[in-house]
Amino acid sequence: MSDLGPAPEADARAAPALPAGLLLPLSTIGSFPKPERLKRARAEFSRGTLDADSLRAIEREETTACIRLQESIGLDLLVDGEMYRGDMTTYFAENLEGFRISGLVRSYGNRYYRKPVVVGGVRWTRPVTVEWYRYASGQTRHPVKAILTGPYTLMDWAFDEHYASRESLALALADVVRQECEALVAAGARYVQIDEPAVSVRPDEIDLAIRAMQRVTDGLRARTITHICYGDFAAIYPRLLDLPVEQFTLELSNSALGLLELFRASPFTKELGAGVLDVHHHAIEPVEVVKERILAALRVVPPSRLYVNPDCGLKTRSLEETEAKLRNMVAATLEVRRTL
Amino acid sequence: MILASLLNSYPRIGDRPAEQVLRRALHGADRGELQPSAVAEAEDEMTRMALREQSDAGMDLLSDGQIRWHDPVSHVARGLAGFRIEGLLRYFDTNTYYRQPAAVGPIGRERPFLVEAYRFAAAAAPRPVKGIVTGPITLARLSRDARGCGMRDLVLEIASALNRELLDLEAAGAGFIQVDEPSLARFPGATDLLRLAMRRLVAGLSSARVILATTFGDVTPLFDDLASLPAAILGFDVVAAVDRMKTGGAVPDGAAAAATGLGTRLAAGLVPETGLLLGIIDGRNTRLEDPGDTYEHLVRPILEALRTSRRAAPEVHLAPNHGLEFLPRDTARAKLSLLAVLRDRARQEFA
Repeated sequence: MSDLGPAPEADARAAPALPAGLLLPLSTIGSFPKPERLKRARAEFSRGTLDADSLRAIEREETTACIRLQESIGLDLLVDGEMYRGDMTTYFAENLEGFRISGLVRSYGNRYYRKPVVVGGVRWTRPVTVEWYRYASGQTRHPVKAILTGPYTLMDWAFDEHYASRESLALALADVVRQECEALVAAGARYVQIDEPAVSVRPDEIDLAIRAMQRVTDGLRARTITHICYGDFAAIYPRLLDLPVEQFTLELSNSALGLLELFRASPFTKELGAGVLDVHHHAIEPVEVVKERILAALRVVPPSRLYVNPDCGLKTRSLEETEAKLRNMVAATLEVRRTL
Repeated sequence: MILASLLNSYPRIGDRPAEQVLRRALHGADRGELQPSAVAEAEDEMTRMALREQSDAGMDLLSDGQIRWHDPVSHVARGLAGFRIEGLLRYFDTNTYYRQPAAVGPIGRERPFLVEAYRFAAAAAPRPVKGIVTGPITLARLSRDARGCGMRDLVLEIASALNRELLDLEAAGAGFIQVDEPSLARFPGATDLLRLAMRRLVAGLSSARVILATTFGDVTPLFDDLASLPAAILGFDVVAAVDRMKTGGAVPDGAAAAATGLGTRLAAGLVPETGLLLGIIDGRNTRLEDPGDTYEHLVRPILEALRTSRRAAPEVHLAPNHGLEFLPRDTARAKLSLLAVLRDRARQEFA
């Protein structure tokens, strides 16, 4: 972690940062819905009727479109939208040594994915997301947040047929994720989000998650963020704050802002990316509702430490729902900013 | 008697197009392109497929695979009065989710909600099908008590409401009714309340045999409390129990010694006429167990200890330690086949 001083590489000096003094920066968690043409292209690629270059061209076009959408809506800290990723763990497993990919299993509801299987020692052999970070950054003057899946979650959401213990796999993956982070920072990334949604389900392993994250972020010259959602936060709070990152983006709306009660009992001492949109409902939250959620978050975290974002990735929503929800989030945030 | 059975859930998807009818139907319905009846037809089709695959693998007692269940918590809560379904929460330590029920009023049951699916499965299956319900402790623990009346009242109200469902399942022909209590390992302090709840839950049952199934961890430390519960079969996650005994240093000689110790303990505490459901196959990892090793290090030592310690061997159901919906379909099929192999060897030696 660092105070965002100049990064060592030429790319990094060129990367933009958020404007100094900006209150309630607006961002998202990472994924955006894939347009139908991209879904069709991915299906054709899977069937072998579309080549990799053609798919890559469509992914690039849709990444650019996603950047334009975020700019037009008025977000401050952009993401690449993950047009080129399937699942948040499988994508990394496909690009690391030591994994194979299983058949389909259910994620939840009617969503399914191909779960990674660890079949050998895990190893980072080349940058996984750097090319996409460079591409997305090149499309905009806004800062772009790099998004990775954290070591604990990569471990917990894979079938392990190789390692002797969960600890040994998690720590091996921490070294892998660290290498990817270093590559991103070298490419200019100032903001790196390391998602750890699995951290909230095994309170007895929070120490392992912290140790793994320490390997990832210790001395990293970037602003470090983690995203956690849909778990039993009461069981791990306030120990959760010992995860060595500067910002937590958390799901608040799905749980009717229940998390904020925890933060009243024991202060939230880091930056909070407050989830003010429920991404698992079709309904578009009115501006007033979003505004209330922001104001509620401000009652437990000062404006200087509050970011505004949806609960989680937006890939489960339609493009129309996504745009409408985000526009209301921006409108609500601007209204609150005017009062600060 | 030694049987093999699926514990509860089964994959609702596979890699072949024919195994993806339910996904397509739900997507179509979500986009407004298909009627709910099309989803129901796809659920029927996938249920028939789940039953067929269990039967083909040689299972003795079948499950409908819980194909129609959104998750183990909200599916049951939706069938009861007094609950409102709220946001997503992760289901124990899995990367799947459930929608959390909030108890907002008196809990009751206005009409049967599992019976129609049971009748469908029983009619479609070539072998007996067990009825399955999520138990009152787990349902209450994983819900939000918005009424503020406390856990005890909530558990007992749920038990009374579910009792009516169990009576209807029995009337519909269910010879076995399984009560799933996966929360006991996470929240082990509830055995007194569980006893009260189980009494309410099974009151009036005359012919159906009740299986109390536990998952997501080792509850054998609670065995003395569980042994006298009103259940015909007690189920344990043997994979977790043996793993705990090994890693805890209780049995330096490894899995076989741990399994023998477990079997001895179960035999000593088991009430006459009560049987065991032994979760001996890992339902949460794709690693396929070696049948010889599993038999020698898990199944045989436990059954040997039971035979040595008791005059009459109890009824034993061999099963995975979890539902199999966490696995890819091909792996789930392979694990069921493995289970049948273990059952056959056990019958040769112990029947």
